[in-house]
Amino acid sequence: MTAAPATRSATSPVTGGGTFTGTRPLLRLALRRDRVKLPVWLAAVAVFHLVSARSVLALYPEAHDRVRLAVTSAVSSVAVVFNGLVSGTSPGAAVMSQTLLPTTVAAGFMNYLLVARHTRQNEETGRQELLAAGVLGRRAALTAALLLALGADVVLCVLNLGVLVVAGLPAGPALLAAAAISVAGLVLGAVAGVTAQVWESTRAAAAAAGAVLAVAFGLRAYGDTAGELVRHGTAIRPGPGSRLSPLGWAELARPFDADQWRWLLPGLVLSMALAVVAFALVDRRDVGAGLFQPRTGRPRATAFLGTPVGLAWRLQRTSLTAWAAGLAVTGLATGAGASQADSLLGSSKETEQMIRDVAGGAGVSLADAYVGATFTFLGAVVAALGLLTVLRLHSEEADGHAEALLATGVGRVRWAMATVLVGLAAVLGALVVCGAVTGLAWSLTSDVGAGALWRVTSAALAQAPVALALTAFGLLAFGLAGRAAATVSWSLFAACVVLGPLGSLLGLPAAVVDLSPLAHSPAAPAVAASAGPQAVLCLVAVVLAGAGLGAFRRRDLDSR
Amino acid sequence: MQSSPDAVLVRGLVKTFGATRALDGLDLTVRTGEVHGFLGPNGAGKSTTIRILLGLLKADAGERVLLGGDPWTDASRLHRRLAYVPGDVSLWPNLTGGEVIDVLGRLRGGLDEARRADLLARFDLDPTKKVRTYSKGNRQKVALVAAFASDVELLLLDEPTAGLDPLMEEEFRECVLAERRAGRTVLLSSHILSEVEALCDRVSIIRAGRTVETGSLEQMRHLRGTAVTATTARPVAGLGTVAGIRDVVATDGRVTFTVEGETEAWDAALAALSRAGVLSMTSSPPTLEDLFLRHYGPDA
Repeated sequence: MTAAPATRSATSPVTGGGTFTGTRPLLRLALRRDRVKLPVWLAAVAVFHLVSARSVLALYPEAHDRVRLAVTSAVSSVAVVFNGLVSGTSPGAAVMSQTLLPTTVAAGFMNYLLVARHTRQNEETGRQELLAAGVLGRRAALTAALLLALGADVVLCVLNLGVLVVAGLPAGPALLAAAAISVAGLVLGAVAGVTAQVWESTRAAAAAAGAVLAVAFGLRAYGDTAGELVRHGTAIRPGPGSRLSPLGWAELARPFDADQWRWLLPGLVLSMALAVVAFALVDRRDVGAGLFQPRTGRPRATAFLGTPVGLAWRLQRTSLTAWAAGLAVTGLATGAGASQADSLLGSSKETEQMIRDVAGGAGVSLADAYVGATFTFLGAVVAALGLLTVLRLHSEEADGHAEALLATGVGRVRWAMATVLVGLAAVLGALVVCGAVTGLAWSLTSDVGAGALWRVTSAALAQAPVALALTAFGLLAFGLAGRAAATVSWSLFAACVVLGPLGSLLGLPAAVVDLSPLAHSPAAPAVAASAGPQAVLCLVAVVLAGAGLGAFRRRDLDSR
Repeated sequence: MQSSPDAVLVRGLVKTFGATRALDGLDLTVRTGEVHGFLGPNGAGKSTTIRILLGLLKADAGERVLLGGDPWTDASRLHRRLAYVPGDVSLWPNLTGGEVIDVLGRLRGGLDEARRADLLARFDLDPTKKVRTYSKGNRQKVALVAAFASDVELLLLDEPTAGLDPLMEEEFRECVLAERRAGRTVLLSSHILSEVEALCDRVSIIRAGRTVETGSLEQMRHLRGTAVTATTARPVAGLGTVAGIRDVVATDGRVTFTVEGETEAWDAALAALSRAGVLSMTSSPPTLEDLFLRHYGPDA
């Protein structure tokens, strides 16, 4: 080799032209893009963890309280499916039995959305092409995304450690818990690193990673419920399903109990293996391409699609179907839980009191109180669904799709009403599905009889006015705020949740809590919904929606 | 209302976005049955004008009549009689091209099936592919097929050929000419001058939200004059004083000048050149590029 010439020749690459070149500026770009989103995710998980940990520690202060919590949780398959493994009776273990699984799932969501956003989304939008034409290594984008996920997981680990220590738990096991949560998150980030190479659309890549998370959840739910009770029923030794799930590995670490640090290893190894696979795929594929040829579709629109309502339904049917499925599962668990309510909840006076605080007096059966308490939360969930559905108007406008439609014979109100109708159907349909499945599961697993089906479905529908009122606020924001509609709506929704369902847990004064419409969710079937407030909420919904549509008629379309 | 001879009539249109005055007294008249070129650099206000005509934006001031109606209050009724193609087509990624064409067509009030099939073949567009997988040019074709396949009186085309290859651009031109033969009106916004030159009967040139010139291309050429370049055996004398001749520049046996006048000016110019002994000569009508440079160039 002769000495390199002082000037660059046309053929020699710029110095440092390796496959990772450019990772650092990409990482900075990603941090800049996520400067709000990522801190909000991290803070939300940490705040949830802190609030939950404190409330568990306050509810179960004594050893015998925690024994009862562990025993009742361990025998309830519903509790095991949704809260996870039970591992002993120390204060920390009691907290973990309520928080470890939800925080792990949240970390998984955060990671796979983050990685999909910074890999496939850039390719799908064509941004990556522009970047890749610069001095950028083939692996730089994936490396930057995975490093960002890793960084987020480290920060999350520190936050969770801090939260548990602040709540008064010992630091060593707290570190294990925090690390177990972050490692599970990292696995999902690496999964998205692979799916982002395989699918051409961000939505499909994220959905595939989400499916992996769902399978991981299902595997450990199966393993945990199929396990055997040990240590006088205060712990579960799970079946093999849990050993195959990254979420199961976090549970098996059993922080504040057996402290099995070695269960951090499978997640770390799997993350690295997935990263290797993802890099191998990056090295072999074209920029912008996936491994699957995108499917072709119909050359003609169906008659229904050629109507505003048909189009609005088509654009949202996939996510609405997924919501319905999720709410059906919730209904299944609620119905089965209602059948066991007397035996399970009755053995814990504190839990019973908590349920009765939400769902009214001593005159009703504990099962009704349990269903009622669950349904008050259902109101908030379905309100979120309604908001999500009508705010599609906002994204259709921002994406420029509305412009193409409004240049046809469809007027503004007719266009918006199509999505409003889909939103209305989504809210009512979701409540019917959840209510009917709850009633069905309850009547099948106990002797309440088929009458429960109708009684519970109409109880679920009692949540419709509050959900529709919040949904209609989204329309008002869309009509008035235009570009800021989503931010305004979700901020208000968050405020209502914090004031309403969480407000009493946080110990806020009643006058403040009452400001939230969600604080007035009727606890039917335990407490009959009173017609007055329901009618007022319906009226509010109509007025807000009408005002929103009226404002939209008068304003400029947000053009790009 | 049908008797109105103008498909589009805009007088003194004003639109502000915050502190930005996007339109500042814009005038535009599109006569029924003509192809009207709407020329201006990026940011001149072409898209804003078209969005006001579509009732997507509300004008702050000014008179505007579209197909005899008010574009804001009669929007959806008027839209059944027009089709729109934006320059930056944004469509639903998970629908196929064929589905989008049908959705847009049906919501407008119907498609001509034969024309739809013919246009798909003409533009070589696969209607079974999802919009997500289309290139920008193919997305543009989806919007063009949806527009040309509809039976409407007026086409509003906002830089419609962005992303099309030259072959497809040619197909587009033929479609526009066919629309004109069928008696339809076309407003074609563009900054591609050759496209406007090839297609348009009349042109409006706008800059910074104002109309700076409007008329037929012939009228504008007349205003601009013909550029002459000649090399001669002897120096050319006497051109500078002729009425209707300007910009005379003579260097080393080469002379360039512009003839703006009629017969007398040409007679004087040719006489002066023959006296000097012509070795070679070219004369060219001004291209739209020249018109453009005059209005938007640094000395404008």
